[in-house]
Amino acid sequence: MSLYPEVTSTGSAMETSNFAHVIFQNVGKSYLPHAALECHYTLTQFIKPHPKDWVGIFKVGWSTARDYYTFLWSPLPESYTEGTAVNRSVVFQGYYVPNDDGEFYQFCYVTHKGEIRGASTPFQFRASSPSEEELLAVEDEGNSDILVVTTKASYLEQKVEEVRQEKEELQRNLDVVQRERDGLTEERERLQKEKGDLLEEKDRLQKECEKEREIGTQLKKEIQELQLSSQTLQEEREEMKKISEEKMARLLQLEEDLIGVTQKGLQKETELDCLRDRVKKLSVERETQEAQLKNERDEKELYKIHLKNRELENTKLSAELHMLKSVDVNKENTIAQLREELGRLKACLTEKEQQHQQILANLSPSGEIKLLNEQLRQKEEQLRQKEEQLRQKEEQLQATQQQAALLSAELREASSSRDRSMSELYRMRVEMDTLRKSQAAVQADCSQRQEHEQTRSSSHQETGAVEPMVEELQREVSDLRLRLQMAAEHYKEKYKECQRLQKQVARLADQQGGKKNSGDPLSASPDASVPGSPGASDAVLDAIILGKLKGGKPDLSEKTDKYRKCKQMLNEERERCSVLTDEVSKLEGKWKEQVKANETLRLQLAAEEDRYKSQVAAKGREVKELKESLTALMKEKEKLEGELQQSVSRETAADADGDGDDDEDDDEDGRLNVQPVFLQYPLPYPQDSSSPLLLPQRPSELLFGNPYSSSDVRDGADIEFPDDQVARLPPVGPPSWDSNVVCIQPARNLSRPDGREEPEDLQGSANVSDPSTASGPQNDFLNDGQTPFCFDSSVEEQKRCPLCEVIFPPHYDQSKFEEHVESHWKVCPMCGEQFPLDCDQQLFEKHVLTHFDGNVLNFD
Amino acid sequence: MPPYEKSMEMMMPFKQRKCYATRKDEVCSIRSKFPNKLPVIVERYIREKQLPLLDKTKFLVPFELTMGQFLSLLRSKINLEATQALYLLISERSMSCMSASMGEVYSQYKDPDGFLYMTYASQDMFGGNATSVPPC
Repeated sequence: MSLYPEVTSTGSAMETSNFAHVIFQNVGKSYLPHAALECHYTLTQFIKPHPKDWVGIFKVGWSTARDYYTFLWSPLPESYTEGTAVNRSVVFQGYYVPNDDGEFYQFCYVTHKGEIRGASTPFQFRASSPSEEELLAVEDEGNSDILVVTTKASYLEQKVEEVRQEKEELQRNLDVVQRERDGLTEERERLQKEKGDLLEEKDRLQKECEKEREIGTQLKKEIQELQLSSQTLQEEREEMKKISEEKMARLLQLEEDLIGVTQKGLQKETELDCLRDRVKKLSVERETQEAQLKNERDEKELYKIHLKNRELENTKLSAELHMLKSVDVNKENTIAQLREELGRLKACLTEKEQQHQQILANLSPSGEIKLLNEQLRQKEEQLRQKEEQLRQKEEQLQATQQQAALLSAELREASSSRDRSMSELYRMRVEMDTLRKSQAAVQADCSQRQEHEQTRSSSHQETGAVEPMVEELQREVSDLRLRLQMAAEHYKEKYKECQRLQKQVARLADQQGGKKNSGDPLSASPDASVPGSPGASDAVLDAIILGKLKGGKPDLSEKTDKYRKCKQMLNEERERCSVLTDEVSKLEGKWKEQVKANETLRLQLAAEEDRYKSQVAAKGREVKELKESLTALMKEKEKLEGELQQSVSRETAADADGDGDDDEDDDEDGRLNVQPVFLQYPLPYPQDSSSPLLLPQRPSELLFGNPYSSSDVRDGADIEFPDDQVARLPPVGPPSWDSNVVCIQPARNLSRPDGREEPEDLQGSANVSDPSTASGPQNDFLNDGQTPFCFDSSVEEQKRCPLCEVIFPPHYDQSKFEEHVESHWKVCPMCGEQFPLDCDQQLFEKHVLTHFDGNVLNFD
Repeated sequence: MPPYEKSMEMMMPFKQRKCYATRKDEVCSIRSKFPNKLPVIVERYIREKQLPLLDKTKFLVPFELTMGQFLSLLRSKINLEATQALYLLISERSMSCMSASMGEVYSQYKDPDGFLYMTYASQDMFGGNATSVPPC
């Protein structure tokens, strides 16, 4: 350190400008020996660099340029321009650098001429001994507990080393990246070439595209044309769809109407069946009531006879009584006479006694006394006899009086029984009135039913009239055909039923001809019900039609999709266009086919309709004919009945004698028994005109019993006056001791019924033409059907099976009796249809199964 | 209790805390890791009460570091004031010359396990273990 001022002093001794031409930068105080030494310096503008200039390390205290320790040629700057400062550096290798010798050195710049132009500050070469403040540094080493003490230089070296390594790494990375870049550039070039090629291709393709576009425009025009045509077609299709929908709606409505009508029909049929059942019941009731009435009437007559007998008896008894009374009076007179005689005799006796006493007293002759005593004894005997006679007479009187009392009691009883019978008659009359009312109600029901029937037929015609022209109409036609078949089956059933009824009617007519009261035709009218409900089948059909329509819609959408695709795809336009045209032509063909099919269907439908209408008309005519024949038959029957009655009445009129007391009752009875025969009962099903003898069940039933009596009335009558009582009363009535009086009754009563029919006869002859007011048949029936006034209840009450002729006891249970009668045929539990017993069991089961099997309802 | 443990650990000398083999292994690993550094263990003298403990006991020093430099470094580490005295005893026995480099001291006094053990105290060890104290 102390040497430095010397150096400067030596430097100042030289040319200052020379020493300051080169300035050494960052010269340290000491350098490591045997280590590379880097020297940085700046060539100022005052010096002109030369290739032979050199930098040397001089020991401080040098005198000439040759005193250098070592030197290096100063490299020439590459782009040197005169008058500018240039930074240069040289590196002294380690083996040229001086050792640690404690000497001071400095850098000097020496020109090629040997002139020293610059010198640095002095420095030392020292091996170790880092200076205290410079080299002491404490570094914490990682995570261990070691404190590492290093010099700053070594630390920096370490850092430098690290940086170098990093730099190398980076260099390597850079190389890699560079290589990658080269590869990428190559690739880019390749891609650019490709791009050029592609561009060329693109141009070519664009030209082609233009051409295609031209073609496309042409195709577009064609497409537009096609679209227009397709639109028109679609419109047409939509129109057709609308039409079809309308038709469908109409069809559905009509089907619903049809279902409604059929349901109504079914309802009406069931109603009719109910009514029929009711009529049957009523007729049965009426029969029973009539029988009762007959009984009662007979009873009444019997009572009347009794009454008359009683009256006769009464008169006889009263006469007897008078006689007995007169006898009594006579007896009393005799008694009085006898009493007087007795008094006289007593007086005589007393006289005699007195005489005797006088004699005794006076004379006392024994002979005389004896005589007198004898006389007295005789007198006494006489007196005793007289007294006995009196006593007998008195006894007789008492007996007669008792008889009179008995007779009067009997008379009273007879009169009370007559009153009772009178009241009964009145009650019967009231019952008759109620029955007549119920009959009128039933008649009204029947007329309503007929109206319903008519409306139903009219609605059927309506449905026929408004048949739509739709594709699916064929289905309806088939449906109708099926229904017609069903109707035909039904009709066949009805026909069978009719035949059966006819047979019954014939049989009944025979019975009527022979013995009108013989049998009670318990032929239950077979319940008719339509097998299978057409409504359900219609619903199934609707569902099928709707499904088909839905199926058709997706097809249409597919076609529209195809049209859209045609628009989008330019390349395949032509082919698609041709396809489209083909499709359109196909569609047209299909359309035409459909139209043709429609027309044919329409024709078929019209034919079917005509057929159906004609069938319906034929059925109607048949029904009318049947009705007419029925009315004619009924009229005939009534006429016959009237005639019969007339003839009977004529016969009876001869024997008639006026019995004024009973005339009123008889008149009332006649009125109660008025039986209006209704011929306008609607037949539920058309009947074949070939069977004119067919009669509805109703008129035949009318012959027996009052059909208009309700069950309630009958029940009341049963409670008040049961049949048993009726049967029991007559034997109780007449007393045992005047049975001889009863014996004369039949002779007396024979004339009476004839007598009371006189006014009715007049009525009957006047109203023969009016069957509703004719009372003849009833009386006819009464007179002819039964032996008159023979009170034989067993004949009347006997129940006889109309099929097997088995006779049941009169008080046999009615329900059991019906059960027996019904056991002669099988009845379907569902529709009530009857089958003969010998009918095949399989057939019967089949029929029953038709009500459950869905196959019958499935018309497809 | 970590503080107690630590204090106990610090109270115990390094040689007693670890066995010879582990110490040797440690030295080996350090020498391989830092070839131009010397491992030194600096501990407080057991009876020393005034001076605080160092937070680290292992030091790695370069060869050329002198004892004086190391002592000043320790002073700065302990944060001693300028008026307080600090002495370094090598291998609990000898005081070294302050101008001697660490390399020289290490080669002269290193333990068989490879560590150079030093203890520091506020006073010199007059009256301590007289036999072990060499004349300076």
